[in-house]
Amino acid sequence: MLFNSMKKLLILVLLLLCQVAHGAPLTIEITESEMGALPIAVAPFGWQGPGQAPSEDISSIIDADLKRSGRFKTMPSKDMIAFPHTGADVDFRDWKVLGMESLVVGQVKSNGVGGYIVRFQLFDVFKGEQLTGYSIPTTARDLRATAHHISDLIYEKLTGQRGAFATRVAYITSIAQPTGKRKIALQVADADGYHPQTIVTSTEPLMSPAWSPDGLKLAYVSFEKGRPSIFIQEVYTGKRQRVASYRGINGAPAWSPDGRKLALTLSKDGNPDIFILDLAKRTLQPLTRHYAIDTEPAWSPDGKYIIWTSDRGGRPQIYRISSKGGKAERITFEGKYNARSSYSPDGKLITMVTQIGRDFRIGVLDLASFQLQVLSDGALDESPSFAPNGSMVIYATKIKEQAELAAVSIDGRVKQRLALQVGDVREPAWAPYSQ
Amino acid sequence: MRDIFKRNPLAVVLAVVMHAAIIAFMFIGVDWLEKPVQPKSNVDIVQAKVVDQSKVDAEVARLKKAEDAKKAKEQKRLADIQRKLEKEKKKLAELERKRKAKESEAKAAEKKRAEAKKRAAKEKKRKAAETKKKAAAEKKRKAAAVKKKAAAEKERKAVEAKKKAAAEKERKAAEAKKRVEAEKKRKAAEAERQRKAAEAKRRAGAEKKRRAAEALAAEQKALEDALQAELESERMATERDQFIFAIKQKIQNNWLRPTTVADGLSCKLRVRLIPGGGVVSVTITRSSGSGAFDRSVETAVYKADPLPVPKGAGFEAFRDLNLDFIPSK
Repeated sequence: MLFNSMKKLLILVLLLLCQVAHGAPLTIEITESEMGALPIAVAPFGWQGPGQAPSEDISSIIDADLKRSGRFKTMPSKDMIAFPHTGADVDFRDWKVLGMESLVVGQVKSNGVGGYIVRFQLFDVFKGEQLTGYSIPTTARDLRATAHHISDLIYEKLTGQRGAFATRVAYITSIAQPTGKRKIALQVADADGYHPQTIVTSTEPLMSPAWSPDGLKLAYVSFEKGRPSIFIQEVYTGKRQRVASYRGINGAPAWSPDGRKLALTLSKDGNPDIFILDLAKRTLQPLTRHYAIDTEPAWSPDGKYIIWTSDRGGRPQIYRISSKGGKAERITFEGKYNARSSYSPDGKLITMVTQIGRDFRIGVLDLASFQLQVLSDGALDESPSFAPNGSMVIYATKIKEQAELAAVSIDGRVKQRLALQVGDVREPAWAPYSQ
Repeated sequence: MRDIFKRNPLAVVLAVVMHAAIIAFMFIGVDWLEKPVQPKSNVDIVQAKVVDQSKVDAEVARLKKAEDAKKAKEQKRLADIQRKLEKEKKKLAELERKRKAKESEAKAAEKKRAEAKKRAAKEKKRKAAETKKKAAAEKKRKAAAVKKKAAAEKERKAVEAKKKAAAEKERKAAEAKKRVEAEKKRKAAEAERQRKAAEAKRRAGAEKKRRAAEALAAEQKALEDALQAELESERMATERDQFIFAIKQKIQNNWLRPTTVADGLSCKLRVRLIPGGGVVSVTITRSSGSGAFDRSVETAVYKADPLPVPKGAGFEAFRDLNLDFIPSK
């Protein structure tokens, strides 16, 4: 009926040739979109002395960040036809021609007292308008962090999602020593692998680092006394305390979203089960009781559920249970091996290690559709961990018998090894946003 | 006289000559009596003179008296006569010459006549032969003519007969044809009559039927017209739909939607175009609440600029567009 009347209206419009305005403009519904990366150009930043330009190339760091996220397709500077440093220098036609939707220009200035002022502008090329722009004072030591911060601002402006470039990653390294023993270390680095810092070292295994929700503390398993214990350590002060040292296994600590509790795996009663430790009250509450192995617990972001790995079905699969206890529910059915699961920040996905043929790879399960997407393509990929914005997953992979860290965008399109790695690097844990 | 002369020229000439001789002898003979000069030459004349001599003697005696009186006169007259005679002689010679000439002429004429006669005879003979020949030829000709005529006649008759036969045949055929035609016509007429009768009979029913059919046809036409109109508007709608589809495709192909924004977002734009599809303005009429999402749809429109639109009047429907961006997923 509406269609018919619209037809009539159209005829009327056609008859009244010169009629410009009419009552009901045509409405077209646009439902499909490309899911490709957004084309963006980060023009090389300029330098305004006095003195030597800083060794860190801000625009390159931004470019690499954006590219690594998988959300952007950046333009190599060799393909650019202009190198503007300020908005006044920009001719948008240049960038439109190159198919760029966004453009970042900027420059680094010396503040005269050994520090810098980094100024940048982000433009919408098609509308020819500035979307954001800041002047950020920084120091030589913080130049990388400033660059990541700019990346976050750009990322958030263009994707509507908070950036996770200025975040950090904890991981365990294992370096063979001349003595024949190995030096094990818990380290924290920038999300791109730069600026690694050692939190704790040991000659005995260190395992399962877990960030507190405020990003200030790390829980981990240490075998330093010959048997596994769970420690909580403040990242900046190095202050630590042992929170679990029961008979048998003490493993796989996981912070509740409110930071008050730890879920962990204990075998004090015989076989490994999931327990919840109240950190303030120091009380322990069993969550699962089963003769099969229950381990690797993880909280849902809302704190209502805990997922874990159990072989009660004969093979390791992921189960879910209310964090207050109750009936366990199996949630993975695809593949014969699924383990080491954790929630995405929005709680809609879980990432885990899944066996594909003879390979162990990183998969993402959509909890709404129960569709499994395999993100990685290694032979022995392990310990996946979501970035705090859910855009990427960091994991350990084995390359030529050496364990390394890699990051993959959540759509699986962009994979990147993290830089500056020495020795075996395992068990990465992406830090939450700092509070 | 002429006819006499013509008929008996010799007799005439003899008569004239005789008369002349008599006269001459009358005057000259006295003188000449002592001298019978030419008794022999004119025996007849002498005889005649003898018969007439008595008369003449009497006369001469009587005359002798007159003559003596008249002797001088006579002398003179004699001289005149002599002269005249002389003259006559001359004239006579002339006459003789003329006569001779005439004679030769006559002879020639006679000859000529004979010749002519001969010629005539010959001619006559020739003519007779000719006539005979002619007659024969004529006869022959006539016979041939008769024969020819007969043949011609025969032929003519044959042709005629043939012609007649043909004509007859034709006539008969025509007649037959005519008859057949007439029969046919008659039959056709009969059929027509019957048909008409049937028609008339049927018409009553048919009229009813026709009216119904007409009504049906009218209805059908109305339906067809309506369908046509609908098709036309559909065609326009189809054209419009094609452009709508093309616009949709072009914008969708240019829409890089940030997957990072929450699901279920949608956004409405008002786009103004100029003929040719150039984008003049893009206005967000209902924001999705996400700047990134809103920007992605605006950018999609700008990147799709110019949009495919119809040429001419069809463009008007596309001048103002509402674009609803509602991701299906």
